[in-house]
Formats: sequence, structure tokens, C-alpha cells
Amino acid sequence: MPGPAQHPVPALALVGAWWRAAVRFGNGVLGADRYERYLQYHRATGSEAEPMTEREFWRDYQDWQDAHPEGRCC
Amino acid sequence: MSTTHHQPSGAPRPAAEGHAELPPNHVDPEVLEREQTRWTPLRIALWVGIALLGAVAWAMIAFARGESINAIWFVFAAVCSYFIAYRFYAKFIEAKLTRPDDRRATPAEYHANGKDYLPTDRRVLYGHHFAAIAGAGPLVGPVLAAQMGYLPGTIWIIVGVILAGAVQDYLVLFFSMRRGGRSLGQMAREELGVVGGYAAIVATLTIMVIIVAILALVVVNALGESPWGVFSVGMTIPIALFMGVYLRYLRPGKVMEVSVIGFVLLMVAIVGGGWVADTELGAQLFTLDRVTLAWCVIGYGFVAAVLPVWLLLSPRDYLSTFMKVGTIVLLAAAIVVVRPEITVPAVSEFASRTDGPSFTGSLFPFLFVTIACGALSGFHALIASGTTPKMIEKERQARFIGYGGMLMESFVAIMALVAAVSIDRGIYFAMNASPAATMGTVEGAAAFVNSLGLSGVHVTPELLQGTADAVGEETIVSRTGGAPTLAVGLSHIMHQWFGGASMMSFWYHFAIMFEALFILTAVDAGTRVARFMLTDTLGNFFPKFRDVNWRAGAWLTTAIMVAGWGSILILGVTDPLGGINTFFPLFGIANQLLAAIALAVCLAIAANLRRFKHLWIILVPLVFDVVVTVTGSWQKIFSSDPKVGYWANHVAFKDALAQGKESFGTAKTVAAMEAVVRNTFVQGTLSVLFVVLTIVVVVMAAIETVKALRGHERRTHEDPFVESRIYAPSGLGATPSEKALMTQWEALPLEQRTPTGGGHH
Repeated sequence: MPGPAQHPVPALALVGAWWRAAVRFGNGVLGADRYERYLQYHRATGSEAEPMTEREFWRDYQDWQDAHPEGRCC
Repeated sequence: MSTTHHQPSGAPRPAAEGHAELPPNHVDPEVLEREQTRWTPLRIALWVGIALLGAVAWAMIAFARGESINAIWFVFAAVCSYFIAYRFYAKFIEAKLTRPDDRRATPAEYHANGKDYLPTDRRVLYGHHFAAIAGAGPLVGPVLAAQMGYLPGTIWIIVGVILAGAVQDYLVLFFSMRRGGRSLGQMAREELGVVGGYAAIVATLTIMVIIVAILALVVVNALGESPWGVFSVGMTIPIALFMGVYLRYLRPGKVMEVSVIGFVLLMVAIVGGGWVADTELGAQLFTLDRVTLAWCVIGYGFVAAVLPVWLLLSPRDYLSTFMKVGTIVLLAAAIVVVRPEITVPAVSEFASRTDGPSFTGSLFPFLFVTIACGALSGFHALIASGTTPKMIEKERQARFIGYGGMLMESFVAIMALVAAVSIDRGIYFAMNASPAATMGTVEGAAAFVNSLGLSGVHVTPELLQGTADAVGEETIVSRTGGAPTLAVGLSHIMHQWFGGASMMSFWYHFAIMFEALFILTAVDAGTRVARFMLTDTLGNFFPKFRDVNWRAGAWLTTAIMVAGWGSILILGVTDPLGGINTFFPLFGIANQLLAAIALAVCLAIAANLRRFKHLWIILVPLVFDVVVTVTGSWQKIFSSDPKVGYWANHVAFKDALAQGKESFGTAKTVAAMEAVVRNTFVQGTLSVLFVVLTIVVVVMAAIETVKALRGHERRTHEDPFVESRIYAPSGLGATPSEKALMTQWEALPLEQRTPTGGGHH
């Protein structure tokens, strides 16, 4: 691996990487990445059917949530 | 020649037969063990350093008897203790009691459905789990407990979480994960039989009702007579509705975007609240008395629980999660940056008395129930079973998520305690004494607090009014419930960092806002969960209730649950004795009794796993918790001191009424006396109900344990072993061998390492 002396990591790139990781973490905690993960799941099942569009997926997910409440503690 | 290939014994096997192309699904435990526990000089130095720093910090807190102590010592004592507990005690529990096996697929993998069974990155899941377990509880309890000084509360929060709270969360999470993510009620039914199972379900349901009621009482007390607070918290409803419509129709799926928009609107609502409260119309419109507010919360709770979740509930939840992670980080940073000096005595005069203004009863057992969330919280068992275990990727991660997640909540409690003890003691007692004691006026409050005879405490009406003016409130006298005190403490710390004195009112209302937001989220989600539990239970007798599309059934069961907590809320706000100081112990006892149920279920499971030698890991917190809660309940039921015992008070007021007295104690009218009689009856009855149900469950668990000790073999309720086909490291970071294996897995196409829940490809 090249030493940092020859190729200093640009500070900006480092900040960018941290920022992207933070956004990814935030999206994950909020559950904003659900559609992406659904697509990943859909591809992995090898299903022939077309996956739901983003709009269809969220509608379906919200309706499913109606019958599956999640507790929040104190 | 045989085509079967053999693995050298002891080497990690490939993930599944016929999938030799997959890398191993686990790191050899021996390799892992060597990496994690080999004592290199650097490591020894690190842990010696942590231990020393922790010891010094504890010594400062416990023995320093100077003028003041710096708040940074609380942070060091807590964090060093958590590190040591996580590294050594949690690891010990893992090795001896749970024995995770990374070859075993988790429910997230073998039931994967792209919805609730969803393998989730461990760091993301940590945040998700934390946001689900932590709310206003750890912010409120320590504030009330601060009346006994900082030391008893600090010891209980830190020692309690290490030996009890985090152990409970970890074990429930682990055992539920081994059982396909089943709920605590279902596990109780399987492990303890029908009687124990039903007792656990009824206890859970009633305990949820009381917890929601007391949380709602905290909100109502914080917003009563506060136009600024009412406006800004009220605005969260239209903001959430807007977010809901935005996500449903305008830009579906843009959750982060809408959360940021919602957050900005929230800040505008806080600032705008100040302007609105300054206008005559605004002050008139939004100054609501507590009874009106209670009815608003009840109405809100009902509507939120019957509306489709996309409209109100889930956008609020996004907002609440967003705020939760943000405010906790902010609070920690503020305490580290500002490092407030604390002048409160370590152990106050009230530690040895039973007549404290913010809660009544002696230190043992009532300190241990007043601080529930943050040290030991039974409610967590409902999240740690059911929700989180369906998202965990690997069994070894349960320690980080379950034990580690609870440590973080404990840290929140420590920070709340610091905020509460960093304000003047006189102001603290003026805020937390019941209106009956202070007459609700600054003069009355000053006279009351000064009459307590506390060393170094002298408040003047001017000081109380000045503080109220600084935080933009009409008054701070008798703002019970903990939330306003925390808000004053927080604004006291934050303004030294950001904005100076002119920002104190913003920070006060910022704190009120996030506490209200957390609580209202818990209220609507709690009502919904309780409604589904009720329909589930009723469905056993009337199958029609199982039909989720039956609107009348949904409305009816929601109405029952709302009526349950709503009526207790109304009793609380109209209570002549002050509400919080008599009702809060009930909240703590209920929460701790739920913990006893959860630990009892874990005990039965561990006994049936034949881990007898290490059952003490569960017995220690269970026995302590049972002793605390049963003693607490006993005193609440049988104590002859009317300040402590519900029934003693009940009888005293009843007698006074029978004698034709027009006023008695702090109740100045006959109606008030009748209210006390009614409230103490409800409180006394609930205490009896909770303790009886819990004793039933604990006895059932004890019977199961003794049966197992006598050699009675029973079939396990664990799901069958399924070989895992994914891999992920276990802790926050990854060890070299974990990293190396991870690199192998990352070389595979994403599809091949995405679980599909049995769908073969």
C-alpha cells in the first residue's frame, strides 16, 4: 500500500466519506432505505415478476404497517 | 473415488451443503477468542487506564465533600463502568449463559420477507433499537430521584444497568431471537404454561395502560398553563400530517428529506411559539388548564390510534427518531463542553425520610422504582422481543445491540441526572413540590422550600420569578413531572454553550418539545400495540376480533385502551395531592414488575437449557427486582403512613368525610377529599393487581426452574437449527479475522448474500 507520505488522503475526500457514512447510517435508522433493500431482496429471490415501483412499495408497506404496530418505549 | 469432500475437523464449514462457493459463515470461535482476549501490552495499558480513570471518577463522586463537584466526573464514572461491564461481564454472560453460534441462521435470515424480517447492519440496528427503547423515561425518573441527592441515583443507574437492565434486555433479545422473534407474552405461554402465560399477558396489558397514562400525565403537567409549550407541541400534529401526505402522495420514500423538512418546521414552531405566546390572542388561545389538556391528549391518542399510520403515526415516529439521536448527541456534547459545577449534596436530607416533595417513600425501595428506565426497564422486553430480533443478522451481535443499547439508555439517564442536579436546589424543590404545598405562587413556594430546613437552600420569590421569566414561562412553581425541571437544567447548561441568557427560553422549550414528542410517540404507539394485544386476546374467545379489517372492532378495542389510560390520566391531573408524586411510584413499580416477568421467563428458559451453574446471572437481578417491587407494593398497600400507603390515605380521607369534615390535609374541599378517596382506591387496587399477577408469573418460573433442576427434561421451544448463509462481524468494530472474512463475502455479488427466507434460488 502506498504510504500516506506519497499520497496524502485529501481531507475533503475523508470528510466526504464520513458524511456519506453518516447519511447512510441516518437513512438506515430512520428506515429510509427500505425500498432499496426491498429491491435487493427481490433480486435475490430470483423472482420473475417485476418489482414494485417506489410508489407502490411504500403504499404497500404503509398498509402493512397498519396491521403490524411497533412499540415505542418510554 | 468418492465425490464427497471432507472438511478438516475444527475448521469452519462452508455456509451450506452444495454451496461450496460461499465463504465460511463464521469465524472460528477459537480464533476470535484469541484475537479478542489475548493480553497485549497495549491492551493491558488501555484497560488499566480505563479502570483507573473510572475508579478516580467514582472516588470523586462518592467521597469528595468539597463545595462542588464537576459534572465531567459523572461522565467518566459512567462511561468507564460501561466499557468494563460490556467487555467483561457481558462477554462472561455470552460465554456461559447464551453461547451464541454464528453458524446458526437468525430469524432475520430464515424468515426474511423484505419487511419486518430484515437483516440489518448491526450499527444501524443499534440506533434503531436505541430509538425504540429510549424515550422520556430515562429523562424523567432521574430528575425526580434527584431529591435524594446525586449519589444514590448515580449508583443505581450505573450498577443497576450493568447487573440488571442490560442483562434483561440482552437475554430477552437473545432468547426471542432463538424463537423466531416471538413476543414476551408468547414466550411466557410456552415456557410457563397457560396460567403463567395468561398472567403475563394480562399484566403486560394493564402495565402498558398505566405506563401510557403516567407518561401522558408528564406531558400534561409540562404543558399546563404554558401557551408557548402548547403552541409548539401542538404544531407537531399539523407538521406530522404534512409529512404524512408528502410521503404518501408527493414524494414517496423520501424519508430523510421529509424528516429534515419536519425538523426545520419544528424549530420554526418553537421560535414561533415564543411570538405567539407574547400576543394577547395567542396567550388567551393557548393557555389551557391541565384538565382541558388531558382531554386533548386523550382525543389525540384515540384519533392517532385509529387513523391509518401513514397519516400521523409513522411521520411522527420519523420526527421523533430524528430528534432522539440528535438531542442525545447534543446533550452529551454540551455536558462535556460546559462541564457544569454541581453544588447539590451527594446524599440529601430526604434520603432518610419518607416525605420528599417530588416523590414520597423511603430510599429503599422507592428510589429503585422511581428510576426505572435507565437502570432496569421491563417495557424494553416488549421491544427486545418481537421487533429487534427480527432484524439481527448474527447471534453474536445480540450483545452489542441488547446489552450495549441499554448501556446507552443508562448514559442518557446519567445526563438527565446531571442536568437536574446542576440547577439550584431551591428552584428544584419549588418546581417539584405539589401545588397543594406551594399554593402555586412564588411566595408560597419560597415559604414552603425555606421551611424544609435544607442546608444551603434559600430561595426568594424574586429568584423563582426571575427563572420563570428567563425561560419564557409564566411560572415555574409546582411544574411537577420532571420534564420542566429537566428543561430548566438543560437550558441552564446549553445557554452557557450556545446563545447566552437570551437563548434560555429557546432551550427550555426545545427540551419540552422533544420530551413531549417522545412521550406522544410512546402514547400513540403504545395505544396501538395495546389495542392489537387486546384484539389478539379477545380473538381467542370471539374470533371476529381477529379480522383486522373490522373497523368497529378496531374502534371498540382502541376506545377501551384509551378509556383505560385516559381515566387514570384524568385522575392524575385532578388529584388534590399533586398527581405525579403519588402516581409516579405506580409507573415505576409497574415497569419493574414487567422486568420481573421478563427475567422470570429468561430464568425458566435458561434452566431448561440446563445452564444451572450460571443461573445466578439472572437470579441476582430477578431477586433484587422482586424484593424491591414487592416491598414497594407492600408499603403502598399496607403502610400505615398516609404519605406512603394508598389504603392508609384512603381510609384517613374516608374517615374524615364520615366525620363531616370540610377539609383534610392538603384537600381543601369536600370534592377534593372525595377525589382523594377515589384516586387512592384506584391506585391501591392497581398495586394489588400488578403484584399478584407478577407473583403468579415468578412462582410459575420458579416451579419450571426447580423441575429442570430435578432433572425433568423438556422439549425446547427454540426454532430448529438452520445453517446460516450470510456473515457479519459481531461488535462495533471488526477484528482482523472478521475483517478478512468480511472481505471474502464482499467479493460476492449482492444477490448471493441477501437472505430470501427459504426462497431457493
